[in-house]
Amino acid sequence: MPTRPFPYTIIDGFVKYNEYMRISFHKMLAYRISYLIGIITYIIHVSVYYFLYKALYHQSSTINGYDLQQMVTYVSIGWISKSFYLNYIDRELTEEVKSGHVAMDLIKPIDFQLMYFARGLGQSLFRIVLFTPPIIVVTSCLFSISAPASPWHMLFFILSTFFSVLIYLGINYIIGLLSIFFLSISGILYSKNMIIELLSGLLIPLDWFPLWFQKISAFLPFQAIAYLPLKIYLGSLVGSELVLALILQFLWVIIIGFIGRLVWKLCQRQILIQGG
Amino acid sequence: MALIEVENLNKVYKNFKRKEGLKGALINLFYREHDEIRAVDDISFSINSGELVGYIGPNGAGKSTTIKMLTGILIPTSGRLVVNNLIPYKQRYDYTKQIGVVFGQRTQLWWDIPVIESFKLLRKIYQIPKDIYDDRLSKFKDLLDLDPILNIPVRKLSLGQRMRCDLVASLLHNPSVLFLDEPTIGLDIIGKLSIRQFLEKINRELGITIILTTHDLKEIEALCKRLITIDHGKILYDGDIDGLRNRYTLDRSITFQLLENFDFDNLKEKLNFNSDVKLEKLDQLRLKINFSNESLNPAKIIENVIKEIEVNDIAIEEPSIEEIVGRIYSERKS
Repeated sequence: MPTRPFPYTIIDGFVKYNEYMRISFHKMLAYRISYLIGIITYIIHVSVYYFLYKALYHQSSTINGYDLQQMVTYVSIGWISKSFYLNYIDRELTEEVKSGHVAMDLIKPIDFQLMYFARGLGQSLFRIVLFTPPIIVVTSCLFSISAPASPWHMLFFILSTFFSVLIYLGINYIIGLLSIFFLSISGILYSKNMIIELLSGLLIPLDWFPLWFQKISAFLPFQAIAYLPLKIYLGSLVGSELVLALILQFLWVIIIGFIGRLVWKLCQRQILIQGG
Repeated sequence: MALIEVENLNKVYKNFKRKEGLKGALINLFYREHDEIRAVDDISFSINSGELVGYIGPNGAGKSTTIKMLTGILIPTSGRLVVNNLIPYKQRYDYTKQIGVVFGQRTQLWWDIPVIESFKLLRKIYQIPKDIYDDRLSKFKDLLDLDPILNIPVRKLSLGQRMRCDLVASLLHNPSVLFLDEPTIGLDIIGKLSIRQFLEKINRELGITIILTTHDLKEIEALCKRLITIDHGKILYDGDIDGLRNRYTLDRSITFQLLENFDFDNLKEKLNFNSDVKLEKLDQLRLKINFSNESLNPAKIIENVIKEIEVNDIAIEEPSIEEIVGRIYSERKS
């Protein structure tokens, strides 16, 4: 087959990975029970934190600059975002490495990273279309959630969560690849989830932590997953702060994508020399 | 020029030695010794376009390692390997478009979704034009009777059905070479037969070169003109199946069903064959004569026996290809 000229190769490439997105979407549809249980799990999570913070705010009306209303909004929107930036490509990668299925990907004319990104995006797309809406409806019926600070903030929040999706994807991809070097990775996957929940600011806003902790987390990619978008939603970031947050997120997308490529190069060498 | 050229190909794996016991495990945390395992040891062969080659050997002989190197998912330690003017592991991206691969133990189909969706994905990956794809798919559909199973998720298919779908998946982009690693493993007779017929057909009609590993030697016998045998990483035999039979002459035997009781010693004396020919009395009415190809031809033996005694039935036993290969393996070990 002759190679098509430049602009088409990009379109062809997009179509190719778009197909992986479609397949992942399809795959998610196959499991209805886990879909229902997933929704309930999220509602429970939000409820637990709602009652926790409500008890906490019994003493004073503001803590570290957040009032109860803001805190409830922070937690609800946080979990609503998580309901779609989450993906399971780390587990999928681990399983494929364990079963030796990676070989089947290596015999196809595809870019491994782009394929997995497409699969992750397919999962997120499924979630945003079918999983997140019921969670939004139920959460906003149960608890009072504030509207975004302004329509502009809403717009930037959406852009910011798009970056969250990509950063989470990039991290999951790298963690999944590590399974090539380790025999058992379930411990790593578990601690990864814990670390991300804590350092992304999903459980507790990062500005509640001691200063030294905040300084460290400012240099880590995790805050770009939940903390920054949520601050944008609440209207705490304005003007140059907001622009800076978005640039920071964008940089992390690039850096993590780049690290992912490097790690895959190493993995590929390991697979190609040791046979997986 | 040959389609596949392999020259002095080697693959050495490094495995780290695990020490025994708790103490050993602790030492392993800090210090590791490595063992070298030579999986493929200086093999050479070439395969022409349109050939259908069987590649056989016992477990751990180096078959899969060779196939992995040929498909570009394993880098050789040394040696030359060129397929269709490409070096598989170096030009992997371009190379993958020219080959089809089926690993009998794995599937390239998506487990949870209908088969047809996997095919659609492959169409996009290999950028196959719609009309060509439709054409090929409908042809394969008829050949392998896929129509009733295309809309079923792969996890609900039987092994035979899945295998047929996997074969189609590996052929949609019209590869020039098809690598099959134990494609019929675990299949029943009917499943094996339908895959055998299919492979024969695509080899003959589409001219696809096929390299096939299997443990089922009957399959090789039915399908392949050429056979490469490997054990302990070395090629033991490369040639056609009749050549293998002639080279490794095994005892053949003729069993005579007689009409009346016979006196074994008396008969033996009368027949007076040379010492290579062994007579055996199975029971009152059956006589078995073992001989090798070189010593005498069967017609001569039968002629002699019939002259001496009345015979009801004759059965000639040929060594099966399995026996021959079994003997090659065991000779190699001793």
